[in-house]
Amino acid sequence: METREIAVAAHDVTKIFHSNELTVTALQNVSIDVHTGEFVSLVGPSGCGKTTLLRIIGGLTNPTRGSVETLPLADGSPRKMSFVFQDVNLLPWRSVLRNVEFGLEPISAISKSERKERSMAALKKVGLDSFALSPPFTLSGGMQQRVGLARALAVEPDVLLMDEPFGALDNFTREGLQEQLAQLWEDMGTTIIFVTHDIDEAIFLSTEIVLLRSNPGRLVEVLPDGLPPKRWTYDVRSEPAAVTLHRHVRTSLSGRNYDAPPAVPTT
Amino acid sequence: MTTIWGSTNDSGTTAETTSKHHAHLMPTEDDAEFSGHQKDRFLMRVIRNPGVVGVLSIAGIMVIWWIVSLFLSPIILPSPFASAKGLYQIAVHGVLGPAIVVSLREMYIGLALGVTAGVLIGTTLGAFTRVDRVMLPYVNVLNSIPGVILIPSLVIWFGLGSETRIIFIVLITVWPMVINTRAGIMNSATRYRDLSKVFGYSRIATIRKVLIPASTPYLIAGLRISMGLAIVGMIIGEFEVSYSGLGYLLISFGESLQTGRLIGVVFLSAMIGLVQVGIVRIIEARFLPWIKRS
Repeated sequence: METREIAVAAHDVTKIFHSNELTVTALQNVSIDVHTGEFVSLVGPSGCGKTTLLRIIGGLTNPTRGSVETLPLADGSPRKMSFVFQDVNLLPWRSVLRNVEFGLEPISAISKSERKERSMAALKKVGLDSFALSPPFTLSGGMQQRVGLARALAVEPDVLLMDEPFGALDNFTREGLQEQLAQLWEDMGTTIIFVTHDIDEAIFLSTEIVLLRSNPGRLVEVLPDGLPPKRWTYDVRSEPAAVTLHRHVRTSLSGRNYDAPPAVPTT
Repeated sequence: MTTIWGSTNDSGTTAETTSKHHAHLMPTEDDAEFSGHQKDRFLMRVIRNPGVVGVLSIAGIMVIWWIVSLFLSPIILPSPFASAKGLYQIAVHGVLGPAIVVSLREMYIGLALGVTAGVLIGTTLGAFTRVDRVMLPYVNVLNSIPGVILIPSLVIWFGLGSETRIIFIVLITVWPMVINTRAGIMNSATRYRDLSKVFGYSRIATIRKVLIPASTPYLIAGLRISMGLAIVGMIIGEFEVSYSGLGYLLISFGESLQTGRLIGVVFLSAMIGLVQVGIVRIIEARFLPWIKRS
């Protein structure tokens, strides 16, 4: 555990947005290390800069100050990253399969047949191989999000960035997808950086929870999530350790100390 | 790795809703006592059928036309029958066929060139902000010029041949395509910026694989306008610069007061317009499923 390999390191990242005369500090001197194979959640209220941090890590936005370093793999080759968007971003004129192939098309080393094969394998992983030829709009929101995940997995990423992927889904669908993601992550061992504002979701999925607060967006603390693996097999949310962790996160984010509940009158 | 996610369709309500829908339309035994009401509903359905409405309205117009023509000189307004006869006569005498061929050839060549150029220019403007900043004022000026005022200059430069009319059609059909394509590309560029960046798409690959397909609804909207303008361009071009084509027939029948034949050709030109609408519908149907649903 002492010599954990770092996959992504953010050094003193500051991001300032200017709009008209308004200046918003989305992130102020945030530094984190993400280790290989971890499931790291960035958690905080809206405006805490968690999505901005993820976008900077993914190279979609540049930091105002500071830097993000993606370390190469042990053999010196660059670490591949992939992204799952909150609003999926499927191309409506392409079939499900062709949407998954989209991410592989710019890679000229991959032949057409290999591309198709890998995409079908990725669809199989998310259980949608039988919908390969369907147009995306015939799928439900949860299924579309799984296609987005398959598209990200098809490029075989070393680091998977996920921006509130289940944010727009109803509670039942969301919990189902959380279990499936947990299972997928344990099978593959990919490093995942996951943005959410849902504390339960973060506790359920993560090995490490990064807490951020807003105005300005800043790091509060990094918490290990010590719950046992195979979380889809037991009721994580009612585990005493999860309840304690949940309380800690809420207190830490709100900065509020709760009183003991008043006694229930007896007679 | 084994499949761990069940291959389920969690949106499987379509079949159920469809059958409910049918059940609602079919009269059942329970409805028997409301048979009068049912009859009304049947009538309403017939009346609301767009095909029935179309046929009825055309028939109505014909009847009114025929009645009005009874009170007027055939030079002012010939009856529908006289107009049909006029059209038949010029068809039999071999005047109509060549005129249609000449007109349609020019129109579709002009339209094809105008649409292609419009998509290319619109894509360039939409995808390259710096080009757009320089070129947009010119586009706006050219777009706001009424095409007709260019005809005398075009005649001086290109003569009285069919090239001049084709160029005229290109000049009036290109702008709706430019404006619509530009808007479509710009919109899609914002929408899909992250996607193409994440997966490492080059500028050109993004335009080809993402932006142009995503702009299809805008292209179809532009095409609809350009197709309408192409007919106008064809007829006006032949009014001004021609010794053949439908526009020429219209002018010469008008000048010689052969009103029956004139109105026959007017009807025929309107039919070409209808065909254009049909063509757009076919193109739309090809892309419609995702355009409507997203």
